[in-house]
Amino acid sequence: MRSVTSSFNRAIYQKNMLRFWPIWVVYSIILAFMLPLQILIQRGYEGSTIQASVTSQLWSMARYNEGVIFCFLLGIIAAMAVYGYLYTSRSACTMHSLPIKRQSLFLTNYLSGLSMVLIPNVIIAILTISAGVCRGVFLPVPVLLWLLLWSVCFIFFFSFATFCAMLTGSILALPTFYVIFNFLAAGLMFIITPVMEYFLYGFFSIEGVALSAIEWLTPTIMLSYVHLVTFVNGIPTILYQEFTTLAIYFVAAIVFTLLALMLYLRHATESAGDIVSTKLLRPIFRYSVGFCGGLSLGLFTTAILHFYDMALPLIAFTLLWGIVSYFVAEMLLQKSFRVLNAWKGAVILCVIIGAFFVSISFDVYGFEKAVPASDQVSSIRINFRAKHDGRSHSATVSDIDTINQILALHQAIVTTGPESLVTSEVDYLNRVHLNYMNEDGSTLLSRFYQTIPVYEEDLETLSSVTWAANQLFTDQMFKACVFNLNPTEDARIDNISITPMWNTTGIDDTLMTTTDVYVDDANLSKVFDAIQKDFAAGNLGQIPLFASQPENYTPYRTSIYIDLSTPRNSSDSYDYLSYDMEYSNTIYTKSETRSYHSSEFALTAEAVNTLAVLNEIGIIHDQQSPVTYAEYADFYYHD
Amino acid sequence: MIKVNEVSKSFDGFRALNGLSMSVEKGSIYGLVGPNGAGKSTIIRHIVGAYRPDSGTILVDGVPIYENPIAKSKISYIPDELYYFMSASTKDMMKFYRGIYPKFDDTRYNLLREAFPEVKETAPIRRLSKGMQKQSSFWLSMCCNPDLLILDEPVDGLDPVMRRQVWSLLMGDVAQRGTTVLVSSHNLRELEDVCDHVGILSHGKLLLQRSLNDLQDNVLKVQTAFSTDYLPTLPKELDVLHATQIGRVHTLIIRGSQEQIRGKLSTLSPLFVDILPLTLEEIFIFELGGEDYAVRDIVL
Repeated sequence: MRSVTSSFNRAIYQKNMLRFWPIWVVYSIILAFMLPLQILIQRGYEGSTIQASVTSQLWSMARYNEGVIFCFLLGIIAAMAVYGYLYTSRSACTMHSLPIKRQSLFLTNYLSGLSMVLIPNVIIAILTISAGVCRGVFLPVPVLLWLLLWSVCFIFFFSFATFCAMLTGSILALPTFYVIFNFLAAGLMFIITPVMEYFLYGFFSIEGVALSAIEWLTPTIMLSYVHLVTFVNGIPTILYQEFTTLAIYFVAAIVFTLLALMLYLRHATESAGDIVSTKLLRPIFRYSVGFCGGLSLGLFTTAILHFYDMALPLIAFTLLWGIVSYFVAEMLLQKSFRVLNAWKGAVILCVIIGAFFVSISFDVYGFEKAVPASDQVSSIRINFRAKHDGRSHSATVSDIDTINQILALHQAIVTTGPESLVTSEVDYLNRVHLNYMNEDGSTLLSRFYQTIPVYEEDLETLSSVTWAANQLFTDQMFKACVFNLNPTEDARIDNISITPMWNTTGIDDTLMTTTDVYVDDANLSKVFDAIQKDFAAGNLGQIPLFASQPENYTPYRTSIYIDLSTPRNSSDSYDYLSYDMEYSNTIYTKSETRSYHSSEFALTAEAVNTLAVLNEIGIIHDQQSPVTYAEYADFYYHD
Repeated sequence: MIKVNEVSKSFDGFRALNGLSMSVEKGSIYGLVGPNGAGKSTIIRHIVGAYRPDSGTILVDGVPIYENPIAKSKISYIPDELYYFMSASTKDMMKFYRGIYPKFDDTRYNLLREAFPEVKETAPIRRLSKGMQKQSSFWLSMCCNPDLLILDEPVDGLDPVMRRQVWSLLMGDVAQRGTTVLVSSHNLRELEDVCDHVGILSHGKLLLQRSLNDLQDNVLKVQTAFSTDYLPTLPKELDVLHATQIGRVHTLIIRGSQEQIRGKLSTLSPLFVDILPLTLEEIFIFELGGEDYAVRDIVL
C-alpha cells in the first residue's frame, strides 16, 4: 500500500515531469546545440589545431556566466508550471483535498521544478565531456565548473520564484513580482538617487556598503559577474574567490525555499486569484506600490514638464502619483474599482512620503556631511574648474598630504553649504567632483555641480573654502598630478600639442589665424623636460583662483596639451587566445591595453625653457607665436 | 463519520460560515441543501480539508481533517467545478489517482468501464461534454473505494438515465461497503429519493438537520374548510408556518404530529381536514420562509 504520509509523492512528480515536458526538452535541445554539438562540429580556429580549439572552447564555458539569463527565465517558467495549481480556485481545492500533506506537495513540486533543469544540466555535462573525448580532449574540470555555475544560478532563481509563487494567488502577478523583486533594489536606487541628488548638497550616487548591498540584492546583476575561470599569463586559472558568491546565493536559495515552505503551510486555498495571498503582506504591497509609483512617476512628470530645480513640484507630483498608485494597488487587492473607502491608507501614504522628503532634505542619514577619514582613503580622483583658469582639471592622488588637503576642501565645502553668487564679479570654483577609493575597496562619490564662491579676503581664514582651495592649488605635488608632470617610469609620452599658435604677422584681424601645432615624436622628451623644468620653477602650471594673477606669471592664450599613457595592470588584459600551439600547451596572447591620461595648462611668458625649446625645434618663429591675453585684446580692440 | 463543530469562516470580511455545526452518521446519505450563498460549497471544502476554518473543528472519522492525509485518503470528492490536468484523459487521471489514493482499485476501474460506456477513456477530458466529464469523475472517484464520498452538485449535467445509473452505483456502495455520502444539491426531488438525512443551511448556519422521515413527519400540509369564509382563530398551540386560502379552502403548513394537529383543528368544527406529508422541496421553502428567504407565497 502506498504511504500517504511520505515527504515525496511520486505520482505528483511524474505528473509534473510529463505534463511540463516542453520545458526540459526544449532546454535540453538548446543546451545540446550550445555545448556538446559545438564541440563535435568544431573545425578548429584559424591557425590552431582542433584539440587546442576544443580546449579553449571548454575553458570558455565557465569563463562568463551567460547562463544567468537562461536561469532567470527558467526559474520563473518552472515555478509557474509546478505551482500553477495555486492560482485557480478549482485546481487549488482539488489539489489540497488530495491525501497529501502540504509539506509533501511543496517538496515534490519543488523537486520537480529543479529536476526540469538540473537533470538536463547533468546529462549535457556528461555529453560535453564525452564529445571532448571524441575530439581527443579529456577535460572535465571546466565542464564541471559550468555545471556548478549554471546549477547554482538555477537553484537560486527557482527558489526565489518559488518564494514569489507563495506570495501571490495570481498567475499573472507571479512573473510580475518575480521581475520586480529581482530588480527592486536597483530600481529603488534608480528612483531615490535623483531625489537625494536634488536635496543633498554634493550627493551624487549611492556608494560603498549601500551600493554593495544593492548589487547583492540584484542577483541577476551579481551572478552575471561570476566568472569561475580567467586567464593569467595565458594560463586558465580557476577563480576560487568566486565560489564564495555562489555559496552565498546557494544559502540564499535555501533560505527562500524555507520561507516559501513556511508561507505555503499557511497558504489559504481560498486566496487563489488574489494578487497578494498573504493577508499580512497586503499593507506592505499597497504602501510599496504607492511609494514607488509616486516617486518614479513624480520624477518622470517633473522631468517631462521641465521642473528640474524645484522641490515643490517634485513633492506635489510624488504625492499625487503616490495616491493614484495606492488606489491602483487597492483596486488590485480588492478586485474592484470602488476603493475610495480606503482613503485613510492614502493619508498614511502621504505622511510616509512627506516623512521621506523631510528626512532626505534634513539629511537624516548623513549623506551630505559624509567626509571620509583620511586613514580610510587610499586614493581620490578630483575634477574641478576654477573661474579664471577656464579649464577643467582632474587628478588622481594617493599621497596622504594631498589627500588631507582634498579632504579639508571637501569638509569646507559641506560645512559652508550651498551658497549663491552675490554678483557675477565673484570668483568661484565649480564642477568639483570627488571620487574616493577607500582602503576597503569601496568608493564614495561627491559631486558639487553648483558654483562654490571664493573670496580673496578669506585666504587666511582657516577651514574656509577659499583657504582650503588655495592650499590645494598651490601644492606642487598636487599640481604635478593635475598636469601629469610627475609621471611614473613606465609612462609613455604619446603626444604634446601647443595650441592654438597665432599668426601675428599683420595687425589686420584676417591675418590673425590660429594653428594647432603638434610636437613631433623625436622632440617629445625634449619639450617635456623643458616643461618640467619650468613647472619646477613655478613658471608653468599655476591654477589661479582669482582674477588677479600671481606675480611674474603671464599666461598666453595658448595651451599645452600632454597625452601620456601607462600600462594597465589587470588580468583582464589577457583577452585574446592564440591557437597556434599544441592543445596541451595553449598560449594566450596579452592584449595591448593602456590607461590614457590627458592634461592641459596655459603656456606662460615666464616659461623660458619651454619657449626656448619650442623656438629651437621651429614651433615658435616669426609667423607663429603664442599671444598673451593683453596682446589678444589689442588685436581685437585696436582701431 | 463527520462532526462539524461551531465552524466559522470569513472571506475578506464576508462571513461565509457562522458557527456551523452538523454531524453525518456513518453509512448514511446526507443531503445538504440551502439557498445560493448559504455556505454549502464552503463547508464541503472544509470537510475535504482544502480550507482551514477560522474557528471550530471538523472531524472525519474522529480525527481532524485539515493536513491529515490518512483521513483524507478515506475521502473522495467530486466538486461542483471539476478539475483535471490539461490534456489529461480519464486513463491519465486514473494513473494519477492510483498513485495518490492507497485504496485505488484497478479491478473496479475495469469493471466500471461498462457502467460508463460513453466515456472515451483515452480522450482528453476537456474535450468531453459536461455530462461525460461528470461520468468520468464518478468513475474515478468510485475506484478510490472511499469511506466518505462528498459530492457537490453531483448529477448536474447528467441525463436522467445516467443519473439513475450513478445513484444506483452509489446506493450499492452504501449498502455493500457502508460508504457515507454527503451530497449537496439543489435538486431536492432527487435528494428526497436517495437521502436518509437532510441538513438545511442558511446564512452560514445549519437551520435544521434530521432524518428525512422525521422531517416529513414533523411538518405537515393541512387542507381544511370552515363554515365561514375566513379562517377562524387557530389554537395557539398550533405552530403554523404558512397559510393560504383559495375560495373557502385553507392550506396550512403546520409543524407538529398528525394526531396533535387533527385534535386541535377538530375543536374549530371544520367541514373537512386533509393532512398530507410535505415534499423536501416544500419543507425547504417553508423552513427558509422563517429566515427571510425570498419565496413565500407559493400556491400549493
